Amino acid sequence: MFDKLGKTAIAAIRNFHATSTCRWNIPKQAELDINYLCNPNNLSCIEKNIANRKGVGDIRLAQELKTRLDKTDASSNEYIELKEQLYHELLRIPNGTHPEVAELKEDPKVVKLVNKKPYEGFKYLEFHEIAKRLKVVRTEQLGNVCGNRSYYILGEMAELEHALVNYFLENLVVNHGFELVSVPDILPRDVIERCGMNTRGDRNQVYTLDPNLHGPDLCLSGTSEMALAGFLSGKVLKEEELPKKLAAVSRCFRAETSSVSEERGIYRVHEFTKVEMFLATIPDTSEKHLKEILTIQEKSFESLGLHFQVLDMPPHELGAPAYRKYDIEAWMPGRKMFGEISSCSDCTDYQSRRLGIKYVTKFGHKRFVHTLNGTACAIPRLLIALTETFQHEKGYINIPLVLHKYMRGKTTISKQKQIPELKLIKHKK
Amino acid sequence: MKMLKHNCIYIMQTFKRCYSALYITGNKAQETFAVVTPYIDFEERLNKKNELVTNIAARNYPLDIQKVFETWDFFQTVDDQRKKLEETRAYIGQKISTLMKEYSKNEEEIKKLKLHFQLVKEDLKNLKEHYYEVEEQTMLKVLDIPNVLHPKTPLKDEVVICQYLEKPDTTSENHMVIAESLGYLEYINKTTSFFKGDASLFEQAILNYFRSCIIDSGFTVFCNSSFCRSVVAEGCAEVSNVFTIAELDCSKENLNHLHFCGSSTILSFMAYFTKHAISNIHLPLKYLSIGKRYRVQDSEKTDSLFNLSQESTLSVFLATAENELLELDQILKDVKSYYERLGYHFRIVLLPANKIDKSESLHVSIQMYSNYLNQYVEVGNLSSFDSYLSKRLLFTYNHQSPEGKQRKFPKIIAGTVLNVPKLLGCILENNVDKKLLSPMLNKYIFH
Repeated sequence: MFDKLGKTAIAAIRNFHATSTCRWNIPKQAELDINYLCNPNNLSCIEKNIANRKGVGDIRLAQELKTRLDKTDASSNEYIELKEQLYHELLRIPNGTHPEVAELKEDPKVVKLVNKKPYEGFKYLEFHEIAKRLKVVRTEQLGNVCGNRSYYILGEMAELEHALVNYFLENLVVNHGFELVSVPDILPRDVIERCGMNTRGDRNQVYTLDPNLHGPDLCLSGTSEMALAGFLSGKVLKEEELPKKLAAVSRCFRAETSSVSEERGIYRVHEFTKVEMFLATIPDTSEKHLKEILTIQEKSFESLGLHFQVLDMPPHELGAPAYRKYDIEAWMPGRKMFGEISSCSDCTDYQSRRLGIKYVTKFGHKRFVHTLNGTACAIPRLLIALTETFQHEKGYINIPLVLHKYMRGKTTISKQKQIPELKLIKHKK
Repeated sequence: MKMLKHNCIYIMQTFKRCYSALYITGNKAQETFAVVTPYIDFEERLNKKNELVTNIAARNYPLDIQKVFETWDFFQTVDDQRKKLEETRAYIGQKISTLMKEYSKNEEEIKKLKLHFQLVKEDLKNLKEHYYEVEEQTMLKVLDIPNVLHPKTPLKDEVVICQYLEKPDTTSENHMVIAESLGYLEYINKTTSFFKGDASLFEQAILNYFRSCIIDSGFTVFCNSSFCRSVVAEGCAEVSNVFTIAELDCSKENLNHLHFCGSSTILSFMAYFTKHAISNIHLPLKYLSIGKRYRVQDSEKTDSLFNLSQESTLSVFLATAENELLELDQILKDVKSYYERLGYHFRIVLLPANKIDKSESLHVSIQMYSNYLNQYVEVGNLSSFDSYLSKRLLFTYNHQSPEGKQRKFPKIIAGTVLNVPKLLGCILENNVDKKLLSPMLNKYIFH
């Protein structure tokens, strides 16, 4: 059995790893805005920003290292060590924060509420109750065969997943000029970290492939934003090519766990399908394009008939890369709560400086692009919101009108009689 | 007893130590949870010993079957011995407790029996010292035996059962050159490639086209898990090319690792049914899944769309009580017609025994031509697994017979009906001038 894996796989995998990072066009070192970050006049402003975002990073230490570095002989070993330390510290400093967002305290600002809240006189069931009754999702008894928090989406609910993907993709490609890119799901650690995601330590959300078998630096993509950012890494685009609008549909893998009761069922899972938007723009227009992404999102969810709120997220919810971020939370009447179904972020030049994504201005100057990303549709939570909102008292689920043509004309999801009841075998005989 | 012990040690030295998540012996059950106990049908296969020997030879499978026979016989001897000793111990124990009721009257007899009891207990202890290892090594060898061969599987050469259109006779550039020049592809390495422009739309369209057709044939859509544990990978006899996830909180004793296999694979379907029974009224099951297949590729292989570690695929899974050939013929007939509508040359071939996986009983290969390589490339397949997988992973159905309720193992047919990168590679080489997105496929890009 596994002695075989040991022999054949390790030999193959050594070779595999030897070529696994070749031809990625990632710059050796991020081109950070050292003039800004290491200017003592900006110290208090950057410190305040870090504190405001409840982020990591020590700008005071970074500036001290810079002062020491400037006084050290550039040909000495100490210089090389200091430079490495300086970069290590500077890479931990989060992006700046939009002035309007910097004013926000703990809570996000509700920008708008869309569509009416579903009629409250009805006893709404939760997704997992409906899904169990209709036999459209399986979550039980899977830990020992697929890992914890695994799930299978079955029958017409799986068709609804495909319908949503096709509906959102068509909207992006046909109506908004996005270019569809089919992306890889296994990425080098470097690409993921340069996008601003931690891949090491206890609380990281990134799956790593077994380093003994596959080499030390291969991870599973947590979102196609990373693959799309990697796709543009090292590229120099023409100004007239911008904004570069990319879309991808991919499986996202997240090692996160949760025992919070609000996140039961398929609310927080280790893998899910997502349609993603990714934009590279000139710096002056990224703010405008963030609004454009948000409008696409709002219109799409509005067309599905969901009740949702748009939130301008406060500094401490931005993570390291985002300059501004909007979340969209849909009302889930079975759970009686708003749940996040989408978000969009303007990362300004945080990612482009780390990944070397540039453009040439009309005057021939090379500048860093601004990158933005947004969720067009993330499956499990959208299925929860749709199922709970459009459940019928007779037990079936109504499918929103705009999705009918992607469902081969089906208008409802009812009990999947062709899916057999599974009976656990407890004994061999 | 000494002889037995000596033979135990010999057996353990003969077979190299293996670790398994599929077969867990009693001594390990405390530290490792035994997910399933595979159904071992070796006795049934021994009834057709010649067939088994021919099978191994035809497959050219590296297994000394004579040694397995000897090991099995030896294990049976050990097991008989164990059973006898356990029975004797139980018998003596019971007798002692009966005689104890009138101790004074039976004192001598009890003393004698207690001595016997001690001897038997000692023998059992000696036997058990090596019993579990002999059991494990025997069972793992038995589980290494390939599936039965379907009578239709050719023993020597492949058999072409049909072809559509004539083989293209033009020469072509490598599809990688064509794809990169047309802006369809950015290839980084075997794990990483980006499809762009019409190629990414083609991927959507061709998957939607096949999905729509297969739903029309009565199949139900499944969105599967992309992960499976070692027990499933071993059960499906697919351990050598699966990716393994590093688990931080995993103890050393854990043999049931997490693997990254993709949602459109036999592994993800079998994980769903492992250790579960269904009612026969649902048979045949007919499911399809669209998703990815991830597998380790040997870097010795050339850089091409034929050797990617990540592939977009559409796979099907059927489970039937009997007549699996009938089901296979029906789905094959349907799939053939879907390929015909694409308008490219292809052929359907039965692969010979030495080219099929050990878990397969029959492998039907759908192949297109690579003008650059001057050879056929498999773009899809349908395989019969008989009851090999369902026995190993305990997937059963209830069968109502005049003798009462019986538990039976369904026969599995499964396959990757469509492998998008391989198909794309062949299409690019077959006809460079033709548009990738035909009017027929255009309709399916988002539907």
